[in-house]
Amino acid sequence: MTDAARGGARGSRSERERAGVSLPGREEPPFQDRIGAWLDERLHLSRFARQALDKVFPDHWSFMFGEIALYSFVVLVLTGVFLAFFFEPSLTPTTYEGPYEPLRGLEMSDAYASTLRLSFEVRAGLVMRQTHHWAALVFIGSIVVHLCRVFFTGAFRRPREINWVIGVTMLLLALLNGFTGYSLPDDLLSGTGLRIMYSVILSVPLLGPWAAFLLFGGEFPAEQILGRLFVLHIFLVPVILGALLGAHLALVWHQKHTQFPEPGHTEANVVGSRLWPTYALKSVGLFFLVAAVLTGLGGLVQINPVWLYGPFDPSQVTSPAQPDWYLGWLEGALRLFPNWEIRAFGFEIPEPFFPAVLVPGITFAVLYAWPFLERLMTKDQAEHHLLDRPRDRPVRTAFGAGTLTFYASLFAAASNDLVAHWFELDIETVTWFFRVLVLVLPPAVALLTFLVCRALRDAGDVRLTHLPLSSVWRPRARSTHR
Amino acid sequence: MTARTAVFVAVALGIAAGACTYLSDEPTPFRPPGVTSDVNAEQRGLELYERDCAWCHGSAGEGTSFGPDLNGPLDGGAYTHFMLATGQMPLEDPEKRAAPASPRYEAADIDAIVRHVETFGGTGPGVPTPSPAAGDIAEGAELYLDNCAACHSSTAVGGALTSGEVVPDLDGVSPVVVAEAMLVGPGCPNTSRTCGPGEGAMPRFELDERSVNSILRYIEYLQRPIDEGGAPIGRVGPVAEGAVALGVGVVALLLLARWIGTRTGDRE
Repeated sequence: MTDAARGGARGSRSERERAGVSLPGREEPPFQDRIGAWLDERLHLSRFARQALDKVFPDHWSFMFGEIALYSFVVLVLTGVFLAFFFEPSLTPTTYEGPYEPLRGLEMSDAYASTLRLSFEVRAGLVMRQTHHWAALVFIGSIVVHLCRVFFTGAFRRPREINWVIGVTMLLLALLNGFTGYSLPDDLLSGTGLRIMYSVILSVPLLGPWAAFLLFGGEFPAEQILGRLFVLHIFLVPVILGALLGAHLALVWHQKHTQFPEPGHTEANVVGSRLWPTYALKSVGLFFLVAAVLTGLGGLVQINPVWLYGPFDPSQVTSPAQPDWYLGWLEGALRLFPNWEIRAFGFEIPEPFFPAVLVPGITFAVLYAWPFLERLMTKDQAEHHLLDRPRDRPVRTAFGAGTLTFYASLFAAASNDLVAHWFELDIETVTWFFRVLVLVLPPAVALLTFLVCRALRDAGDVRLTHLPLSSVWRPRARSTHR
Repeated sequence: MTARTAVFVAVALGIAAGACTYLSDEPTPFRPPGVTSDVNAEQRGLELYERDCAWCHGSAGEGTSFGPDLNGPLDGGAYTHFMLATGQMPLEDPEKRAAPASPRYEAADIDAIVRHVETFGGTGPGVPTPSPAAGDIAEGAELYLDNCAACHSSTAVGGALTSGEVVPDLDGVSPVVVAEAMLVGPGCPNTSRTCGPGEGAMPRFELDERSVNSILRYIEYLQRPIDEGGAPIGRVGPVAEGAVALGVGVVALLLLARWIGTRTGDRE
């Protein structure tokens, strides 16, 4: 019946066409156009869409670092949702009866047992778990690279201070979420990390024990902690991260992206590609590349084989024990700080407070404050949409290089036991080596960076490899043809 | 001199320095020449002991100023076999620190020396004959994580201790040698005259036969574990993982971003 009716309708239309009869205005537009029109009459989207699709973004490959982080986050959410279906965030003891023979019959937490189940029984569970973990490591890595790009090119200057603050907050939350995720499987390695975190919180003067008990719900290893970490890890922090991500991108949209100084680029224009089609296609391509690299790592390279580490037991420990790379600088600071007994106002301040609370506290305070600190120093109140070349700002570049060297040295020091093992050295020698390195290398790198940048700036448009060495040590008058 | 020349000179100097280290005289390891006579094992043990060990330990294991005596309460078959089978003895230079290496003798010669040393006054345990297959792997996992993982690592890759002690990797170590280590407690620096078996870095474990077999079975498993998930990258945990994440993952993505983010013609 319906078929016949449709056939009839088609027939009549083709008949009209054959007869050359066309009634303007009577022809119904295609269905999707009618939907579009219906929506547009109510929401007035077409003007916005037209503007949005035509919006121009500057082209430079270094502007895509933040997008790598964004797409890693997307991969994290997708794989994380999958994992959440199977993971049980509970420290309730259970006897393992699964297929992994070496641990069968042992008592372990539900969390660890469900991680084993994810790894050995759930279809695609292991590749999802590994991709999730690799994505976390790459996520934070790309945030740091993006941060460096923004820092060294001065993209944080007025009017973009707010986005800088949002970005630093996202880095902080990413570190927090990395650590909570690392702790969830309740294996021997991550349990050791959680133990260290508990001690670090305890070390805060006056507040420490209260804060630790409040957070963990009792003496370590407290029953409640895993459920709390889980809520933080899969709900609270990702939601805040997502919201800040939206704000971060909206501000880039609203304030427009910065661009490098080039012929034709001014403080008042934006030269680049339109969102549609060039930029959108490039960005979608990047998403596929990010997803490919992360799932490639997840399928080809083992990460966190918790079945070998064994279930967490407070009486056991494994070595070497390091945190994931993004907390390596904290671990290194803890390993290098001497075991001084420091007393103030009649209280002993526990030694972990200095490397593990004060160092990150100062780190993030300076990071947050940098745009404002720099303005205090340069007295520069103007708006900037053109980026700096790092060589043109020797002080900032030198400060950044020195700071990076400091954290890289701390990071390397977190592996002091492995360095000692691999190079057949005494671990104390290695520790002392890093103590000296952490204090000596950053100023040296900063000084060298300053001298090279100053020479490059004053030499005009010269490549680093063509810089006369003599000009590094002797400042000379700025050339006029900068 | 430009910066480019400076970098070139620095790299060239570095390569030259590396080449010198590589080409410098490596001490040739001690290799006793093969014996063609048809001596029996008893004579062979005596012969090898007199030739390679008596220099420092004395012809009756009484010790000299170069090496400790072999007549202590823990000396005997197990400790002697352990030191020879792990290649820590004989030393070329008594002042040098002994380290695990490939054994200097064939198994039959080690047994011959062990039998000879057992005729001395040491009252320690003899060479054990464990059977890992009789152990329970899960029990072994628990015992291993309780007692061994703190130093040898939960993945048996070994590690470092304070004051230069090296915890050996258990890969390729035979069950007999591990059982001996548990019986004797090795790990004394041979340069120390005050430290003997049982006082070294590794504690002595007095465990029943079943527990020993279970631990050995789990260690055998760790030497060839279930390797789901791809390349194991050294089994040292987050340090290697971080290196791969940054050195492979992030670097690859930066290069890919450069690839798709640069228009044809923009590249120099």
